[in-house]
Amino acid sequence: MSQALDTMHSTAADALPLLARAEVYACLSRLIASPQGELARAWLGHADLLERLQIAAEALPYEFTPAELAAAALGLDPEDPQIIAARVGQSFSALFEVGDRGPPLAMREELAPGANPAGKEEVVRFFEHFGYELGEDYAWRPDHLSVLLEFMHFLTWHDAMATDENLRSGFRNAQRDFLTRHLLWWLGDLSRAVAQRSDSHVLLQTTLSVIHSFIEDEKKWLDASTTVANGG
Amino acid sequence: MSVSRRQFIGQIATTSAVLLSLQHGHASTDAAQRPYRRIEDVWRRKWTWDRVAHGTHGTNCAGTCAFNVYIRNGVVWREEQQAEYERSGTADVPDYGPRGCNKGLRHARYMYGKQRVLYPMKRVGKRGEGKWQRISWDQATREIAEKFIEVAVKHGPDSITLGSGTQLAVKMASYSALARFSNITGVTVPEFYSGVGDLPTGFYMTTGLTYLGDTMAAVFKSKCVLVWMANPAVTRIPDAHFFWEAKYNGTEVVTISPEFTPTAMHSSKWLNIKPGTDTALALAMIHTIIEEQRYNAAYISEQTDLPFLVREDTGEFLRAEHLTLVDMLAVRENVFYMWDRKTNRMVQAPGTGAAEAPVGRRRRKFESIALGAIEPALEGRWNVKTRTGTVRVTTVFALLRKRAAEHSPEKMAAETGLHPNAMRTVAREFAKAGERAMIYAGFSACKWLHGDILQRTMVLLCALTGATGHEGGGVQMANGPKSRGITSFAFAGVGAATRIVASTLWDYDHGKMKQLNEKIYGKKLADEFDSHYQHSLKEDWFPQYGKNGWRMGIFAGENGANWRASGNRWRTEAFEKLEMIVALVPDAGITMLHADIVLPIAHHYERADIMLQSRHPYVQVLDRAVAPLGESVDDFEALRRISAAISTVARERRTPAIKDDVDGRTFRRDLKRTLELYTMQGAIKDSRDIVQFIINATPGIPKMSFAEFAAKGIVRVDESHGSTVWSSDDSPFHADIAESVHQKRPYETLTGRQQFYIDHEWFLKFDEALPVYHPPLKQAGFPLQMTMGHARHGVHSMWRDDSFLVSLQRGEPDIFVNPDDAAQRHVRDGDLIEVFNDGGRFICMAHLSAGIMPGTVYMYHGWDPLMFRGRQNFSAVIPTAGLVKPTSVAGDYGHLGYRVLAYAPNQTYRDFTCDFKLHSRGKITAAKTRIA
Repeated sequence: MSQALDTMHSTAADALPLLARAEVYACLSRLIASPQGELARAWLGHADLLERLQIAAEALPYEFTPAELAAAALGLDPEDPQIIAARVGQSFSALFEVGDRGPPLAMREELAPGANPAGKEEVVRFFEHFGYELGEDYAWRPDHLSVLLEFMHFLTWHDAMATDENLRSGFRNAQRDFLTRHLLWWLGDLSRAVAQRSDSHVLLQTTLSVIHSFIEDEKKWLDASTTVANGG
Repeated sequence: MSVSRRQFIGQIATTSAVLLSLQHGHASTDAAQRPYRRIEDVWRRKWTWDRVAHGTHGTNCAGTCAFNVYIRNGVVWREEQQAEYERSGTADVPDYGPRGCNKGLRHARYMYGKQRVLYPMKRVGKRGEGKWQRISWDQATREIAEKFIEVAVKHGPDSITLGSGTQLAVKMASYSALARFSNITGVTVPEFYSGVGDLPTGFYMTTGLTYLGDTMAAVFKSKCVLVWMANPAVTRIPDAHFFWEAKYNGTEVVTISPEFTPTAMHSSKWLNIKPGTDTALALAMIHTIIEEQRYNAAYISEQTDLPFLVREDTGEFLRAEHLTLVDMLAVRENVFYMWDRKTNRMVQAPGTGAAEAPVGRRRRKFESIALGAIEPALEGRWNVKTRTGTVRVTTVFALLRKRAAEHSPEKMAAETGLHPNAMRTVAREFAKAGERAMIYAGFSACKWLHGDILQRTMVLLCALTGATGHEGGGVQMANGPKSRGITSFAFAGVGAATRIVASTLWDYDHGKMKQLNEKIYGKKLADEFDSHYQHSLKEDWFPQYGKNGWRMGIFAGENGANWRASGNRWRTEAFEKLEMIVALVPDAGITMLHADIVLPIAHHYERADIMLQSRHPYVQVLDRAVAPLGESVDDFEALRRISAAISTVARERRTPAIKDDVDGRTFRRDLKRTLELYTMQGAIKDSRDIVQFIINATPGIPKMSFAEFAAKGIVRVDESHGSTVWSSDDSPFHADIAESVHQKRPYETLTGRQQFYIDHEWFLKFDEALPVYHPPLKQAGFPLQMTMGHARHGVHSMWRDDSFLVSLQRGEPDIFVNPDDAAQRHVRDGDLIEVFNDGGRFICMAHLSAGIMPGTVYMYHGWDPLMFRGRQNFSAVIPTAGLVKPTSVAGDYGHLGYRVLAYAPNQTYRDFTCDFKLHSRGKITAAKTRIA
């Protein structure tokens, strides 16, 4: 029994940088999920998301810091956290949920300017290939940024926990392809668009900026740590 | 923040979940073991569907095209036409299916578009500013309920409106839900048919029926069809093939339209008539048919009032009450006479003088209009002894001949812009077709101030040829389903206590439209129109609700701030002054943007419902293919939640029941019972229950369960085999015309006939007792007549913002102008122009087209104000909302008097002129918008 525990500790410790990646994806997915959800609660102090994010970031296999997120939070005028949360929620709604001819910015890949018409199908195929099944409430929006990040969390977690090198290699190739094909191409534009809008809350701006930076760093790391698969 | 790797390691070591942290999904058992080398691996597996459902797009295009809806993971991925329609009627007629169009096929993507409203929202900025807070359904419905009760108690429930649009109304369960809610609560429902200018009052005046029409396959049976103020190649895409197949089969297809439309270009002939002069053409054709004796004397003698006697001294019909004191005291105003050539005596017209007067509101099934031995004279002058002396009488037909002579082709050539020979040629071809002479009429006629007269002449043309009531003949517009199921549901257990008012009159009352009339059309017209309307109200010919002001507006299934004539004035004077605006919408639009609370509503494939449209003999099902997106719900459920909140708040406040007077009847409205009544004590749990209620209660719909309907998708209605017309009591659609023609039952008019002569004093005063040509209204100094029509790439306001469909056009709202008119104003194709008149201005792109005649501009409608610069659409220059035509609010005359969805003034959209000038140089940037 103790041997098993030791093995687990050892495995976990070896996998630490990789699990850190998974943890960052999980935190970012939750932060951007909904104005009614973790994003608001994080700023209310009812969740440990920011702290978890910070801890995980320090354990990453490369240098990355989401400190600007915490700084942005600390930089806010001291006022009722409920008011802050409400403002973030209002900003989220105005940006991503409603507006002239629909919300001004798209939180879903399918709605991003220049989206591949077959993109959503490919996302679902990725999910199916790796056994990630969306809950009913989210099934209709598999391309939502929060879901895409959660799938990356799923892949990176399996990557970290894989004992078979071939499987790990596959997970990593999949991460690189998924990042390239379904996140990187539109996230920069979205982040910049959010930053440029006067009605976007600074916490939303910062969250998108952090996500974008993280994705770019991830891509570099993945490029360095994966090999192109042979055909066949 | 103090952090360390040690802490993180500690977390990992002590967390049994080991950080697999999923909130949106979950992991299946072993799929993660599947190898991946490159992207092709995810594409190798065969794509499969979880389910294929049946549905349609639930819009008011009247197509009700059957679609198979392919579902996977709770998402509609694609759709295709369900091509399982049977053949039309007899063996020689082409099939209905497959049906569908470009618009519908966008739906599977559009429903996931960014315009979807997914959560209840509360406005946090100024109205229209677009600043929102997402709130819960509980909060939203509670705030609505609190305001609802406050207004209902203080000002009366009729100070609250529940506006419904065509999107909602064509779906029978949804419309039934709205009808029941409004009936229970007493809110006012400004009906949309007259509001959008689609109410064919001229047909009603003539036949006692609102909608005339058979299936679209009847077009194939015609020998000559006049496509009049219609553009089926664009607006009836699934059915347009019937016209072209008919043409190849020898039918003369004549399009009458100022614009060279896609329908005109495929027709046998195109009459490029000046806008608004159609009645002049119709009367010129009538003149030709009468003068050349091409009419069907037997038909008009029996089926119409043309042989009825009219007093030359007063212009009134000769009635029994004119003849004797006894008849006068008995108020026998519905007994009419004709002159029998056989006996050379005046005789009572068969089928008139029924005991159950006043006539018109009830069908006299046991009477007959059959002439028997009578041979009515169509023309002549006779002396008749009345109780006040001898008077000279003549016939309606004789008066009609005179009236037609005033509108000969030569006299109408300048008005219409058509050569007299062209008018005569078409008149002869039409008359030659006899019983198979057809007029396929669009709704545009309703949008002209005097469109009612045009519609009267359309029926008259079909009567002269003996076509009305015969397969392949008569006026075809759109039949309506017998509403028995809907009204039964609305009134079940509570009785009828509903308030439905013409939107036109509601807007007139609350938008200060008389002032607008004064500004645009002058004080004389404004005073004259207003005095007649006020007289009508005083006499209780028409109801008036909301006398304590319009306080709260709930808008469901419509984008009312988009399409209204004089929309700017309406928004300023009425809409923006509301204390609360609630929008129940599936998609964003201008109405929603001005709302205080927005409730998300399910899209077509997310609801259970049925649709019944007379264009084909099928019931179409919407079998909820997927769950509604986000927190959206269908209309029944939204109103159920509002009802629940009203009941809760009313109980908390111990709100006493409201005594509510509706049209002279007093009702006790206990808002605490709203939910209980709305759901029939809980018996109605969802829309499926309503659908089943409607199936059971509506004639002509096969009696089966909703599940059986859903499994089939399309189900043929009863009594629809072997013919292309609706001709039976068992039909789900109105078959009264056929019954009158073939079974000789009296029409639901004062005279019991197709009535072309209306001797109401107002009709006599305005010289409209018989159809007459009145030129359209124009505005001095503005030379261009602007017209509009339904678009190829949208249905009303729906899909107008679809990025792909927009990319198939100019990428933004455009207006068609004649190149010569453009050159005179130094405007080039693609320039931005300012269209203006006394009413206002808007900016859009100039689209030069030789298909538009000089002196006119044409715009496809439905563009949302949000798509224009400054959020100002075409409604800025349409100043017609106050034009309440006196003869459309007449009453105390048989079938004339307010009748819901039948006789009421239309909101008109055409009687104005404008001009345009260069706003800024531009270049065509079509397809700028990317595919979403």
